[in-house]
Amino acid sequence: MADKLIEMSNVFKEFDLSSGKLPVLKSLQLTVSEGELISIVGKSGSGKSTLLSIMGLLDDISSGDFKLCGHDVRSLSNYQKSIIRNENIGWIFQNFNLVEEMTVAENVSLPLRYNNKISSKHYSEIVNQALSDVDLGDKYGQYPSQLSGGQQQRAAIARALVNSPDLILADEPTGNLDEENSQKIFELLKKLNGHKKTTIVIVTHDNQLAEQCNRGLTLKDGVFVNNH
Amino acid sequence: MFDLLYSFRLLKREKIQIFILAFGFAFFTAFLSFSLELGRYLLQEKPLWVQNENHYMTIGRTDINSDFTTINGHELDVISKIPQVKELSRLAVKNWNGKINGKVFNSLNLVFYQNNLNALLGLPDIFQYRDNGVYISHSFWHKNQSTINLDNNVAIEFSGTSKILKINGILPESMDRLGNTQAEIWLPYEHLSSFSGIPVLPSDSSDNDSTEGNNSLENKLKSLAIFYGVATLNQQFEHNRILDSIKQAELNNTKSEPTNFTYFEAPKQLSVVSGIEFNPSYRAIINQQFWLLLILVIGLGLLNGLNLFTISTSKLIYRQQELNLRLVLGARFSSFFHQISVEHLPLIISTLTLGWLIYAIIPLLISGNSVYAFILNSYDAGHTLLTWISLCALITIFIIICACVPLIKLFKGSHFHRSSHSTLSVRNRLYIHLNRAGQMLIAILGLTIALSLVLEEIERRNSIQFADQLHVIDVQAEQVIPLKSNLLEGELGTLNSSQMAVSISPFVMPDYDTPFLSVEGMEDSDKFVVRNVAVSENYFSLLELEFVTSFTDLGRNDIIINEAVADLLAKDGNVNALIGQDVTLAGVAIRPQTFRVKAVLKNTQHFGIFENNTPVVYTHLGKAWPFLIYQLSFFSLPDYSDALVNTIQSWLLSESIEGVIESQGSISQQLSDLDKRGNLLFWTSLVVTSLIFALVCISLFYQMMGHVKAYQVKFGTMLAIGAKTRHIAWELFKESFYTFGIVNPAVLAVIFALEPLFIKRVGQEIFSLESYLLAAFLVLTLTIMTLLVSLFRLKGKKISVLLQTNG
Repeated sequence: MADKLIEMSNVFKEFDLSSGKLPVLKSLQLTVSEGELISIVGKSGSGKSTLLSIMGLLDDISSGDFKLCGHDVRSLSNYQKSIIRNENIGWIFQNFNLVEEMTVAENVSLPLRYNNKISSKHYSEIVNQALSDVDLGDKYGQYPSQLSGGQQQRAAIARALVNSPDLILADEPTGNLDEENSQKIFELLKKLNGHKKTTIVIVTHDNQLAEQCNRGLTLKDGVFVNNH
Repeated sequence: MFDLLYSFRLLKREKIQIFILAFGFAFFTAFLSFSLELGRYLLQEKPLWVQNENHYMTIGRTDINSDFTTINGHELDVISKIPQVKELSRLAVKNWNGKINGKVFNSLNLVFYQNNLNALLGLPDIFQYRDNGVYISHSFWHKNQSTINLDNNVAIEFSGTSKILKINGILPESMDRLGNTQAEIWLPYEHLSSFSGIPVLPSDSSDNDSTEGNNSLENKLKSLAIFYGVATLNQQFEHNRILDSIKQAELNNTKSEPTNFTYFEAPKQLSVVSGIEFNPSYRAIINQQFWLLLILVIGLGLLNGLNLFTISTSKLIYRQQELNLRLVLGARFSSFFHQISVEHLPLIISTLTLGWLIYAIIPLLISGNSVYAFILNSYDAGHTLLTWISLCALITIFIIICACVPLIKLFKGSHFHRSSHSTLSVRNRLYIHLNRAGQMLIAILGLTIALSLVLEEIERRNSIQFADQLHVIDVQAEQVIPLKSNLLEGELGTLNSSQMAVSISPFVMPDYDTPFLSVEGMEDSDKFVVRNVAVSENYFSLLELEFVTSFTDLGRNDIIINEAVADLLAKDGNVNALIGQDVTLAGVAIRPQTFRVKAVLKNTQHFGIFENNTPVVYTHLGKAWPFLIYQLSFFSLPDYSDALVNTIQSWLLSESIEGVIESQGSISQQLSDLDKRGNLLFWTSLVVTSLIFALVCISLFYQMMGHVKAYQVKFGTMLAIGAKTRHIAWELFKESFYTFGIVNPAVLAVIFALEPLFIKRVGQEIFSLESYLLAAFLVLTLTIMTLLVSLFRLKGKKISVLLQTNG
């Protein structure tokens, strides 16, 4: 495993609009090492979500160099990207994105089902461990609608953890939660980062949370204005 | 298993939708199987079926183990002289290799028969021209009918000989076995020399062989191991008496030990598919209706496929967030394909189960009616199972393709859009509109064909305008009925002609002779085939047939033509101008005769003429072609029927004419019976049409529901900012109406493009302006109705629910 998980150099991202090209990221330079807990803040339209999508291999860069876990992303096929997304990346969303018709355990097991390296007989054990890590061991057979917002987000975190990814990308993970639950979720992320040394990138509007991260990045009009 | 469980959970939300889809596919599966079975049975050209209602027996010898074994020619000769034996044919059996339609058959059991077999089987003289052919056994035909298309012109090629012989017909099932031998191909004795190398003396094939001739043949045929006899009897079969007579004859004549003889009794009944082989018009109408049925069934399948495609598209758009999430978690296209396929397993299982049930119910529904019993014969379990398994596999693939194609379209190159739930891409919107346009197109086309069919059938039935209370008595003979003069003036001059009429429909073999009609100066290529019916003078008045022109009486040199003939003759459409014109009737063996057109009869159904537009001409009874008279039809008022039968019987006896008198019942009853087989196809088509109509309603409804669901956030937002349901209704109506406007020229273009193909294949125009307009109107009405219903569903939901995203 490379020490540097993310290496971005001179990255540009533009969107084609009918009125012309819209530049979103401009000559971006970023390096993320293993075990970092990074926050990205910025106003709406600053390019935070686009950057996260690029980091999560959901979108492509327009130009520049981008390496993820040692792989040159531009040379990867869609199939290879799927595998990296599944094995190396965990996602946490603002609105949790749990599938309503699946139980908590089934939701958490979903990434395992797309991972050909893990045998189905280990699913139960791995899912139990992931749920225990987020204190939801007793909610195994319940459906998302039976959980509170905080519990739903913890279930989503368990799902992000279940494949033991190198990188967790959290898009406004506390955006739909109250202050108390927000702090609990953040503490959980910090704990994971501390114990498992998982690299976490959080996009947030919450400056308080951002300040608690090891490293804070501020995006403005597609460039980092603050990189500490 | 995980995906399957998930799909069952989804089912809770969509159970009615799945049930309706399953029903649609099940009907398609069942009707496709049924139509194929029906087509296989009805459309396969079969050789002549031998109809033998006489008793016959196969004669052999029993050995010490009581096994049936061979008998020698000399003993058969003795048996042939027993008074009870009417006709006897010797049979010799030999194995040989042959080839039929390119397929090689090793070790065929050939049975060589004397040429008196035709008489023995009771075949009429008219079939004698086919004498130089072979018969095949019923079991051989039954076993090979699906792999070899046995029709009238199929030839059998025998290895190592120069013999290529045509198949004459299929022998009764009871003649399948000769002792321990399974007979397969029956050939005339005269071909024996080509197989054994032994020349057969002319006397060998004679009915009255001398003993010397038999012995000579016997000596020469030592290489043939098996020898049997087949005989018909002069009187009622009495086992013991026949056996005793044979033994007695053998003892009287014997130079050998007394022999134990045995025999088989043939069943009287024989399955004969009458009418289809020898009635081209009947065959044509069945052919036509079958193809229409098949087109409708395929239309039903397409509609189901489109319906599933539409629902899948709408569902995938609705589930886009869930599927995007899976994509984020590492799902690949193959994972989606697997998931969607598994999710459709309940639909596939329900479809196949329901389809099998419907398929199984069809014969049960029709088994109560003996007229349809022939269909049950075609439900061969082994064959059906194989067909069914293949069909199930095809339907499964079809369902998976219909369900997964939208997946390819929607997710090809797609990326994760967190807000995609509330907006539809231009491409997805286009799919929705294209789906609806496709459904409308199939619906209008399907309904146009169906309505054309129904309207035509209604017109056909309305055209039966003659006196249908009349009783019909048919006289059928196995030889030409010798008429010395006009029947009513000569042989049956004593009949009360005010109460009865008579017609003669010359028995016309398809390849034998068919009369052509022409007028002076007409080129050969313009001459056309007509059906010629010779009738008595009072025929038209008794049957109350309607004329287009005036009519008084029918003279010997007059001819009455129907409207179909008039249309072909009068290019300018003036049928009155044809009156008084000379026309000529001629055929290959029919000497040209000139008649004067007396009147034009309205097109109507006639016996053996199942289409209104069949060209028919009526001539005077005294002008019937004498060598083609095999059947007479008498029409009488109900009260006169019994007296007429008695008079006919006396006449036949006095003239020594061997004929069968069949009282057919009233005309209406006959028409109903004659129609039934054709009707079966018609009614099946009508059921399929109704299903198409029902499916159109359902699919348009679900399409509209899917549309509303896919746009629900947009509509929710519109409602939230003050729009009313009618604003949404108006917007949807405009969209539907534009689609409808675009679809109609497309329908017309398809109709114009396909019409020549349909005319070629089906033989008639199946699109009419009336049916098209009616179909278009129905589809528009349905669209508006489904739109309203789906909007009512929308209205019943809270705006907050509409704005919610689906997990």
